[in-house]
Amino acid sequence: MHETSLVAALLRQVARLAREHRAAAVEEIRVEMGPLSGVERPLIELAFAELADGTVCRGARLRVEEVPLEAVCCDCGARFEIQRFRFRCRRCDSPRLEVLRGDAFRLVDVVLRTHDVADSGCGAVPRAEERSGWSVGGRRSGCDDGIVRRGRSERDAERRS
Amino acid sequence: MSTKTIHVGRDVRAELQRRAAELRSTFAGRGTLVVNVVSSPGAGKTSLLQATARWWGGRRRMAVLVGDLATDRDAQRLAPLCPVEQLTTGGACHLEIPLLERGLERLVSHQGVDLEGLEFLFVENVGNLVCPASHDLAEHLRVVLLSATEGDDKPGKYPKMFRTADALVITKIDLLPHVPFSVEAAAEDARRIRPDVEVLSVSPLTGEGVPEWCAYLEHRRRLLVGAPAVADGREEERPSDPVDAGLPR
Ligand SMILES: Nc1nc2c(ncn2[C@@H]2O[C@H](COP(=O)(O)OP(=O)(O)OP(=O)(O)O)[C@@H](O)[C@H]2O)c(=O)[nH]1
Ligand SMILES: [Mg+2]
Ligand SMILES: [Zn+2]
Repeated sequence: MHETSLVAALLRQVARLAREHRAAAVEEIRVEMGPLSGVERPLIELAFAELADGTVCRGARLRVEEVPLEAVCCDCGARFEIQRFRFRCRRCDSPRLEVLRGDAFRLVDVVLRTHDVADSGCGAVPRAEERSGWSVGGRRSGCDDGIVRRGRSERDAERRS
Repeated sequence: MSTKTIHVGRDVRAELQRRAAELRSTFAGRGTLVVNVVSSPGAGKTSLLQATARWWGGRRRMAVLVGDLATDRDAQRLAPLCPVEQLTTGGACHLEIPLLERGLERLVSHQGVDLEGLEFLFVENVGNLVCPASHDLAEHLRVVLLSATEGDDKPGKYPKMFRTADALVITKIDLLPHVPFSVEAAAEDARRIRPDVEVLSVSPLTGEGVPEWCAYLEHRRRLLVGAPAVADGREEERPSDPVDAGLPR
């Protein structure tokens, strides 16, 4: 069960945000998962209940949103939900798909409780990668070659080209 | 008191993924193909790596990082054949980048490995078809082993692992006459999840399929370094007896 280490990483990230924004407490943490995220919801919730105590996330509500596995076809552009892990286009049967969501374990947002003092500006501007919101799965690169692009094979392909 | 919502929208593993991507391109720049070998416990990861080292017999510069919950047994099996370092996870069910980075340092300091000249780095993951699927170890190639005794229905039961694996290696094929396992059915199940998956069959015990497996690795490395395919003619470099590639009896 690797959920413990993932939740520990999640709590560290939330604690850092709370520090940067000088929050008094964390009210809510929203995460997103799907069928190919590689995590089990009950194990996430269990790990959170165990690990949040003694951190700034103590008492925070964890909201786990489950999203379907969705893909876009690189050949015909159809968008659809992948069911029973059959990775072929529902319209044209192409195997060249790009997964849009349902394969990440994502921290969506955090609701912080702050003191009512003017924000000093320290850390209030999100860092570059927080703003750009890049994510797992290489969504940036699209479908421009003959390879089913996902994860490491995709990056591999990028380097070769 | 007031509340403030901070949008993040980023995978919890993003920082580790970034480090993995960096390491991957460093290795690519050096011409080292990094191979993450995953399977259920006992599918034959260490046996395949032993057979690989034997087949190459020092002609390819390879090193192994092997993950294990508690012991260094796998490292001891590989040590006579190639540079190897054990990554003891202390009970964790998978490897992560920080542990891999420490292992790399030890390959250099304890084993005298020159990372600049390394052609293949194998990472034998902890035996587990679930958790290792979620962790990028800077590999260029993820290989999942499925042994003949495990059943040909496994790909569909572990979708994340089989979706993220670039190659499926059916192992222990010497046992095929004794077990109800169809290589074609396993391959078909895997292709449903990952249509472009490469499928190979090996028996590290008898050596069957080991030359093809090694040729596949060399092919993948050539793609990585952008070198043209070498002409046939390496035939004479190979051990004459295929059994040489197998396990000690
Ligand atoms: N019959 C047969 N047995 C094999 C073959 N390859 C490995 N084995 C046996 O399978 C057992 C497990 O092999 P290992 O190489 O230790 O498997 P592993 O995947 O490294 O195991 P863990 O690291 O513990 O997960 C050993 O007893 C091997 O001798 C093969 O091709 N045929
Ligand atoms: Mg082993
Ligand atoms: Zn289509």
